[in-house]
Amino acid sequence: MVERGATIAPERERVRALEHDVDPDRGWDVIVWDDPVNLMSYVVFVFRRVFGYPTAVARRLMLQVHREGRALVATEPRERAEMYVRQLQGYGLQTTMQRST
Amino acid sequence: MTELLEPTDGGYLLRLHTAEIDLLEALGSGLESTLDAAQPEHPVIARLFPAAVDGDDEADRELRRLMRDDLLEQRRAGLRNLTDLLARARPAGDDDRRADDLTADDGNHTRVVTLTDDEAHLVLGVINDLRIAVAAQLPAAVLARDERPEDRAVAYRLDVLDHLAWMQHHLLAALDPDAVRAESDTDTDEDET
Repeated sequence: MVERGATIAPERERVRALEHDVDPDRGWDVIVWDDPVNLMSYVVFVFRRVFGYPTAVARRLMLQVHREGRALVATEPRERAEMYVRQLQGYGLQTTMQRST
Repeated sequence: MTELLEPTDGGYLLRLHTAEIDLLEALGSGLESTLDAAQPEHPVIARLFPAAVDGDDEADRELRRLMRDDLLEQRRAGLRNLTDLLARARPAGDDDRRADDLTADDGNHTRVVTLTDDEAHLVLGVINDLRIAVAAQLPAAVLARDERPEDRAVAYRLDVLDHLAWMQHHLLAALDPDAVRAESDTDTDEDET
């Protein structure tokens, strides 16, 4: 047992170090941008449907998009962020992702 | 009851004027042609398939390439399904006629279609795509309501955009009343500020 552990542990360390160097995934921010077309109620509907957010949260994010021009709607690992961008663009919301700072 | 979308047992009744059916069919077929041609520089295509990643051009190209076929097919399927739904529309009985149609002296212009929950959501999404397509062809100042349209075609597109918004609002009122209430609360907030 001890012997096996001794050989596996350095391997794990090496993989961990490699992942850190190659892809320091700090997460990705999903941003929805303001748009003069989409109805406010529709944007609330989409946030509720895609993220399952309560109405109050969906409404706060919608108002942030409307008043500030953009809102951070989620921070996720890359694949999940891509899935949200795809879903939100499918609903017609102007959505991008960027590395979290 | 003469609402646009009304809950029924296990689904919804969509109530349209024949002019609305003609409008949706015409806009749908126009968008279908635009999607078929898929010219990247076309304003409708640019708006429906926007940037996906900020700050990394290569990642942006890659993700847009991955999403493009999927989104294109989703939008095409939506338009095809809408056409099929509209083909199912039947003349409304007297109890189901829209209030604005009951006074018409040239016959019954109200058509009704029974929809499942999924179909009702599909209509909402396709109408949003159609609004985006109409808006992408309007001058920005007209869209922002800073300028009145001089041109008749532009004025007509703006009217169409507003009528589609009216339809969307009434679809949402039936499908997600909380979202519509959240918007009216917003109006109150804005009045206060």
